[in-house]
Amino acid sequence: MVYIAGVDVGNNSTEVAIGRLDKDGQVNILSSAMVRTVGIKGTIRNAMGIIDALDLALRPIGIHRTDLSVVLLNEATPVIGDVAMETITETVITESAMIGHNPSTPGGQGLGLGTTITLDMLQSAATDERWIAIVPGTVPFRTAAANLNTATSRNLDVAGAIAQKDDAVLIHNRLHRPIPIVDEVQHIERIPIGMPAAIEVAAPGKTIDRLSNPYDIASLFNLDPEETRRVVPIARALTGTRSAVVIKTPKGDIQERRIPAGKITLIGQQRKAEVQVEDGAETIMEKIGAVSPLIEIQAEPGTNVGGMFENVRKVMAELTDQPVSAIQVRDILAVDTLKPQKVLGSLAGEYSLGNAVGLAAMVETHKLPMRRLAQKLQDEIMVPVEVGGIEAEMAIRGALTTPGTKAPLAVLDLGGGSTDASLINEAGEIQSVHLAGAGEMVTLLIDTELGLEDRDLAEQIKRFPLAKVETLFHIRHEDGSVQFFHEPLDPRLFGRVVVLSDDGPIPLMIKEPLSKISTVRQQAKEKVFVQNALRALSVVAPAGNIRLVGFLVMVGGSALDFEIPKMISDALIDYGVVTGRANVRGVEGPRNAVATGLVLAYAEKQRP
Amino acid sequence: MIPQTEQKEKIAVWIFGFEASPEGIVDPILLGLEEEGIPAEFRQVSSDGAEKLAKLAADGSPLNVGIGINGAERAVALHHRDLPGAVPLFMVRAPDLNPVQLRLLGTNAARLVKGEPLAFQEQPAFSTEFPGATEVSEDTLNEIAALVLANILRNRNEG
Repeated sequence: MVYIAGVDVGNNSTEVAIGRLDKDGQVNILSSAMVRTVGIKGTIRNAMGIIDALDLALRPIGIHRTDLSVVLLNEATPVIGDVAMETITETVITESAMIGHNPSTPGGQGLGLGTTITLDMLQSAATDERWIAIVPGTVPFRTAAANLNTATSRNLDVAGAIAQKDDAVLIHNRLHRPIPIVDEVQHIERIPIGMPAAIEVAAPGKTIDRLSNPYDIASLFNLDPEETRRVVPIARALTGTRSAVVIKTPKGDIQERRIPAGKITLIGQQRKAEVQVEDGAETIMEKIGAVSPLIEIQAEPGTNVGGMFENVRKVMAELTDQPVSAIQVRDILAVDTLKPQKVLGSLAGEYSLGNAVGLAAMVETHKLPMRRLAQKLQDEIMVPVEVGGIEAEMAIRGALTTPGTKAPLAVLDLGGGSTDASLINEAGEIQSVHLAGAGEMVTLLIDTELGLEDRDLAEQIKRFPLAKVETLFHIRHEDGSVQFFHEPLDPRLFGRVVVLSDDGPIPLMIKEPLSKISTVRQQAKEKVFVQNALRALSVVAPAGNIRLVGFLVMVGGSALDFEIPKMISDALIDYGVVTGRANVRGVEGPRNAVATGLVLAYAEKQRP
Repeated sequence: MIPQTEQKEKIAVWIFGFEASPEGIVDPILLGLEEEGIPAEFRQVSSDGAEKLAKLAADGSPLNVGIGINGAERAVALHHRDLPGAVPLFMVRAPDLNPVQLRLLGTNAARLVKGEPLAFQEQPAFSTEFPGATEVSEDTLNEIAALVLANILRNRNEG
């Protein structure tokens, strides 16, 4: 009786399969285990994780480490990836000129046009002009209402008010003549006095429709065509809000600025091309398609992309003991996205959506120093350790144990840093490819588009479904179903969108409705994984034709995702490919394919 | 002790207090509700604990939300009909019994009715949609101070 262990060290998880080899060459897989990878894949630190995983797998079958005849390590794919975001446009206000935020409770409704004036100056103001009153936070709402009433009683035309504190409804309820009031304007001191201003408050449940239209702004302020062109970013930033203020300043200038984001040089086997990052993802991916097969991609130093390229090459260089100059970026994935950015020079923390391009890069080298790791592991556990089997081949061997599959079979490995595909044809020949962009890219897109600036939270949003806490005792899941609880929920969750993580619900502090958040999440997954699945398959498919792939199984961490496998299946349904999540040995699901493949391949070699 | 017949129809957050409820307590609560646009109804009742009064008010209110005030004990409770009587959602006692906390209680009573996220004091009253974004501007000292503060915060988050 011979016991053997297959070990697969991946970017995120380390997996083990334990097999028993009988005299007649038959192999039985007895047990398996998975732990988090310790350290970067291919480094000596991995040994700790491997030993943990071995012990975890051996415990239930009552075997000790020293009973193993051999431990087989995968020839890990020498691929690592990284992600970065390049902002292309931003809105700059050189002089305070607009407020367009969403205080939860503005006062009154309608449109008011007038000249800005402070509340105390209102007492001596002329009656032949229309005014917009500015109410600083130091003035109690009763005083503010009284002053406004005094003003209207002497026939002063007050068209609206801007308040610093959350008092709009309180002031409005005490006025004899109702006016629209916008409140919670943090930097009220930045509002210029004596300037034409317009205020709009929409009815509850509606959004403003005048100040979000550049021609309405032009009509209100008598703008010429050139000035009208310049207010477009204001109108855009105000779209969808319930209240807004626009102030005309003499030198006021709002512009959408394009930020030079640097260029990328694509070097293919036959051709070479340059592309500006600010041209957007579509252009970049088009050029990559035209130039591929790619040999190397270079980014302009001093840009975010340049920095990311440097970083990923440096990590790989350290890992493999090679000079940085010997490491090349082999593939990139570009995705268009929107990035909420604080408007520079704003009055109340307004933001506008800037265009951005998310980029994932991948470096590939000849071999990771797995032998060093094997030696270290052997010294630790006193069992012979062999490095055997190319990862792509082992993955296919393992994946073929999925019931209902046969060659030609494609395996799509949906990982964290890269999307890998390999294909075995009827003759047993194997083709494989590694592409930049996978789970980490999805996390980056979610983080950026929701403006979270919290990668961990974005990761949770990626991994788990959402729900809305509707009462203290029930939540509504994103599919519309309702779940009740016997104990009251934490008041901090009340009314919020929550992520249903393994550790309980996490409240999201952003105002975005659930549907927006789930759309961002789904689009991020589609932009990365569906695009990459098609890209990868067209490389490995016979004659580049995806229709000729008979069976496709998905493996890897992201194959466990609650919606990614379905998205890929939907995209491939037109090609007639049998697509689904792998079920290694009929029990493991999309896990353990490589570890299983290692054990099976070893057993085959021993057979007489 | 509750004059049921006259109160049944009043669609509002009910607030029960007895004679010793000073206006200084009731007023800020009413303002919090008013700014959020939810009607409130104050009733004088006989003396009892703030939780008990709040629960009675919540059970009676067609909006299922009630507030109880015990001025003598300087305690105020916010309750919901579905919550067990002994566990009010929020309880404010002296020395926290200040106008800011009381207005917040009124705000939260209204938001409980509206199903909107509740406000907590550690959150800034001015919600910035995308926290973490830093303010960049040239002129005033204030802005420089804000920048320095943001920097410190960022460093602390990273560290």
